[in-house]
Amino acid sequence: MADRLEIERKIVSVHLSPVISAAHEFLGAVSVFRDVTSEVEAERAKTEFVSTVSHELRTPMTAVKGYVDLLLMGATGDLTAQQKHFLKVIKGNADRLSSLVNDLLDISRLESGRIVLELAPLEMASLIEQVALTITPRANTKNIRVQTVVPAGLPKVCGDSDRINQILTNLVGNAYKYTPPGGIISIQAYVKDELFYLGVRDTGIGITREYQKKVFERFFRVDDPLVQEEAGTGLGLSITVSLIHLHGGDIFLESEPGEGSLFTFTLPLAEGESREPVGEPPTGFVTVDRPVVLVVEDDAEIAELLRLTLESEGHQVLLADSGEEALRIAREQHPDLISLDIRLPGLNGLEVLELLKRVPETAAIPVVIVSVINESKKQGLELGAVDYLTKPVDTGELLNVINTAISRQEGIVLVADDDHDTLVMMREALRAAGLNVRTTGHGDRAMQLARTIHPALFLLDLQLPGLNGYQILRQLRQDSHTADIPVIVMTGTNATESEVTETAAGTSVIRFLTKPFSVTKLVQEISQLVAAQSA
Amino acid sequence: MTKILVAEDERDIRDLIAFTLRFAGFEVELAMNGQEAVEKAMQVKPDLILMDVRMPKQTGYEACRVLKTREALVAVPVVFLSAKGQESEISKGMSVGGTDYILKPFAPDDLIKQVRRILAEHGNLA
Repeated sequence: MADRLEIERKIVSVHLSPVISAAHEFLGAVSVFRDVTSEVEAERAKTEFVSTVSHELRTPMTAVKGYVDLLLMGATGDLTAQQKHFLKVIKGNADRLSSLVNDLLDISRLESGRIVLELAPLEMASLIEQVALTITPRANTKNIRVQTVVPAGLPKVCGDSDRINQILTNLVGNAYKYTPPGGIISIQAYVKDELFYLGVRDTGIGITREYQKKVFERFFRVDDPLVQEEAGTGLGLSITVSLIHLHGGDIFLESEPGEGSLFTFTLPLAEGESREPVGEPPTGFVTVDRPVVLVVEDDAEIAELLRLTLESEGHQVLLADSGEEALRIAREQHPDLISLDIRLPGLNGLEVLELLKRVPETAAIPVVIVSVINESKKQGLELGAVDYLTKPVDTGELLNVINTAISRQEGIVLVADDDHDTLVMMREALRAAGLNVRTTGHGDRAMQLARTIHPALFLLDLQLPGLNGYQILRQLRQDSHTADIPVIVMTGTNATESEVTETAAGTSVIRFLTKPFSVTKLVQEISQLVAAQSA
Repeated sequence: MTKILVAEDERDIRDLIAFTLRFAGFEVELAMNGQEAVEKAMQVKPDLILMDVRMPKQTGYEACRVLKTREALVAVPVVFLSAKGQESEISKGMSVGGTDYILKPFAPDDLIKQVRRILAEHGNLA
């Protein structure tokens, strides 16, 4: 009698480790066999399920979108404006569902490792142009400029052209979604450290530090009405990251709220291509509109604590561990505020304070004394400190004092310009003249700053992303709190003086400058104006 | 008039394609599955066949393979309607004799453009 033999296929995971004695002798190996058939089976079933469901969802979506398109094309006759509007709403939501289905399908295939890249040497210049061309018509409707910086002589990369197109389309699409009208999207390619880099930079709403890591997580969406307004599932970036990793590349994010974001990813170069550096990385975000606080403190731990506290509040922090260094940094960097310890090696805090107040270029910087010694309080305030805090410092109180001191600062010049180089130049020139400067490249932010800091003078470029110069002038005029801020309008060539004066009626536009202008003369003029105001 | 045979099992999609192509001025014949597509093609001798991949009775691939064995139909371009992202479907369609593919979901005006392009490439545009 023969037993029936059941033959079954099993999938087994094998783990082998050598066994080595203390004397480094090889004694043998431990082998662990584990039956993973059911796990693999379950994984396969799940993937197949998602794939089938996605396919089944697509058919009705095709019908919904198709019939709506036919109606919108006028294939059944004319439509009223409201009918058209309703159909567009249906279409928008159908598109959203379709992209969700596509994203889910991609995720399930990435998870199961079923996305196999078709790697080939790839010319990136044409691919970048193609993605830029695709987004341009949509960008035009929002008055967003799309520019590409593709240097000659770029080597080929090793990649899957469809997938790289998908990656770039996702990043550029996000840039478009989160950039207000009037902004710029820039795609820049370069080679550094034997890697191909591609940066997508925008002048959008930016991402706070808190959210910068999370944006790559699945289904994560920033909790901001501006973000929630845009259609999206929170899957796009997570797919993009997986696809980049699959290529052996990496992705980085740099961002400043109100200034914009820069997503940069790397790709390996194709074999046999030159590995020499080509082109330049895009300029990073100089955090021009965040207040700079100089912390003078010789105790490294307290200095670190103060730095973390201030940075969490969005300030930029400079550190000095001696009085001499504090004076040097104050002269060179002209911070918005100095937090000063009394007990310091070399010059003590009171001596530093006296010297700061004696030099015209540093005299205007508000100083807050943070010390364990309480008895010098009177002397410190007499020397011109705006406040005196005793250690251990309550962080809430510290931030309160510092923020009040910064916002009460007098004679601040606010500069708003969409050109980054102009901003840096103006900031340096005005600071060198001993003026307090705040700068921003974004219209919305400029308006917000004008309200909170009430600058002694506002240098305003008319072309800004977000609120443009005309809108800002109008808003300044409408608010009694800002109507008295003197404004100097800077402009390129397009606007005529009469156009601006018309918009500016009722505001305090005191001067009209056409670029290019002499910075030295302007700084002189501004210094006189600000001095006259505070006198 | 240029005659197009549409093989698609989903009624709503079939009607959508038919309406769209008629709207663009084509004559349209319909089939509900692969087997019917082969029979209809023999009868009406279309200038172009639009073929869905997943259909009952005979899939689009099987129907295409059969069509390519009929002398009268061997020159008629077969265009597969393939789901976006299913690269394997597309390459399989080409390997059984398909001349081109149109990705699903498609917008009606895009469908018309693609059909005109393919017809022009095959010198069949009336």
